[in-house]
Amino acid sequence: MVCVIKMGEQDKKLGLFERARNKVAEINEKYRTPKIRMSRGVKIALLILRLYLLFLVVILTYKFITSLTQVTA
Amino acid sequence: MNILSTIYYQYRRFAKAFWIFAAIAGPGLIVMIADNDAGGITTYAVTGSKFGYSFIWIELLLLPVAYVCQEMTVRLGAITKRGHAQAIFEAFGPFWGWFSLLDLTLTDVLTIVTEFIGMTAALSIFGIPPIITVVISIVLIMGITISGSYWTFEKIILAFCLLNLIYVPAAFMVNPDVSAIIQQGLIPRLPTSSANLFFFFVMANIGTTIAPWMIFFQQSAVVDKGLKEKDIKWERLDTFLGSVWTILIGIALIIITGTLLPGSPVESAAEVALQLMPINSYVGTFIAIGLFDAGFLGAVCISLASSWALGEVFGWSHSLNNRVSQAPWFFFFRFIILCLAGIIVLIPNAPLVLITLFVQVIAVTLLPAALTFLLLLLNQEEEVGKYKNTLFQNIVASIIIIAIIVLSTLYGLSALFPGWFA
Repeated sequence: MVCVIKMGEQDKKLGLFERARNKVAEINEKYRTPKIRMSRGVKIALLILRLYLLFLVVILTYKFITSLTQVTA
Repeated sequence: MNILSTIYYQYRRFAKAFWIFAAIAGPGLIVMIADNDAGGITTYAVTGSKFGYSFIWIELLLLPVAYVCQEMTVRLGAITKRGHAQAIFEAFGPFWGWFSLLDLTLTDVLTIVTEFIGMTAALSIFGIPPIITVVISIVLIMGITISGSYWTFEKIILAFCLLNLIYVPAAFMVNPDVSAIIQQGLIPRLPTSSANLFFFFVMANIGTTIAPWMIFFQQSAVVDKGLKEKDIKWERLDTFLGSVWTILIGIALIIITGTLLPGSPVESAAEVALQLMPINSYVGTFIAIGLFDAGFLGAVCISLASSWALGEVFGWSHSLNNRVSQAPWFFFFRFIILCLAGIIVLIPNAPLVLITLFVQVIAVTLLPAALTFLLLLLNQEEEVGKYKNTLFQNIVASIIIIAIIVLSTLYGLSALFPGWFA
């Protein structure tokens, strides 16, 4: 209990950025292990999602570069 | 005597069912009606002016699409008592959790910008300056949600939802040709010319029917309202009626512009309202009022979707049953995103068209993930027990989700590269 109070006091002394970083780290730790049963279907679905996002990132980067070259030209 | 007692028994049974439904209904109706936001109203109005009645059958096809996706959030929320953001973090870990949360927040802020664009354009028709519209809207939106009671919030919002029906009498007032509606609108027919444009509008209409924030909103609303397993059947009915309502409004708008402005090169619902003023001032006024209402409902629900999601993940108090002092971050965050969106709209020469296009692209990055997670979670027996998807539900949901992902991706790409689909 004493420890918790001390942590709270320490927390108050931290800046906004550090407190946010600590909170994010706490959330990452809390949800570190995915609870879903990793069946083959789930793994395939997540892999496809990652590839889809990669595709979108490539497309957006391409759009950004072509827009930039058009502006500079 | 026996007949009378049977009638009385049936009446009592019906009355009891009605009042149970009235108590439970809300999240489904609200999410579906708010789905007809300012962008949605513009899409329907422009669709009607470009294609006349020939898009009505496509709108009807979107009814099951909207229902199937949203119904899954009902089961997930009622059984797990968790919002969609928290469910993603727990089930899929921090990478997908942060991706969904940040993408949702960005999409929501930008979408609220488009709601403010719609609201300011609608009220400027009545001579109200944009700054007044923005300030009054933010005050109203915050005012509705700080009552400290989810019930109060819901009933006020349902009153705004009723106003959304203004398009239905407007559709009758334009005296549409019923036989033309049946022949052109209800018999599926693909256009022989302008196929690319037709396809673009199919994508736009799908994009406006299912948006990422809707999944997060309804699941969180079901949790905040405290709906339980026994309420699922009523909440399903609520969602179904909401789907019917949203499609009805879309069809009413198509009928209005298809009747009065066929082939007219309008680009927004506000433009439609302005063009209709000299033709039928009542209908023009109804469209403007409806556009404001649509933007308002959209801003209320979309800002709530993000605030609920952040509250779930960061562990803040995040219920509409809380007072401001009990959930300061929840209300503060809502206020900030509303102000941010309002300020963007008021910046002179802000690239609002670019923002509107950007919303379409960003939404495309989140929608596939949100829908896939929903489907995967609904297949976890340990999560939802007997409410797990059946084989039939999985087949239907998979077909719908794949179609949405493909079409919304193409829609996003068409926004980025218009030349590809010219």
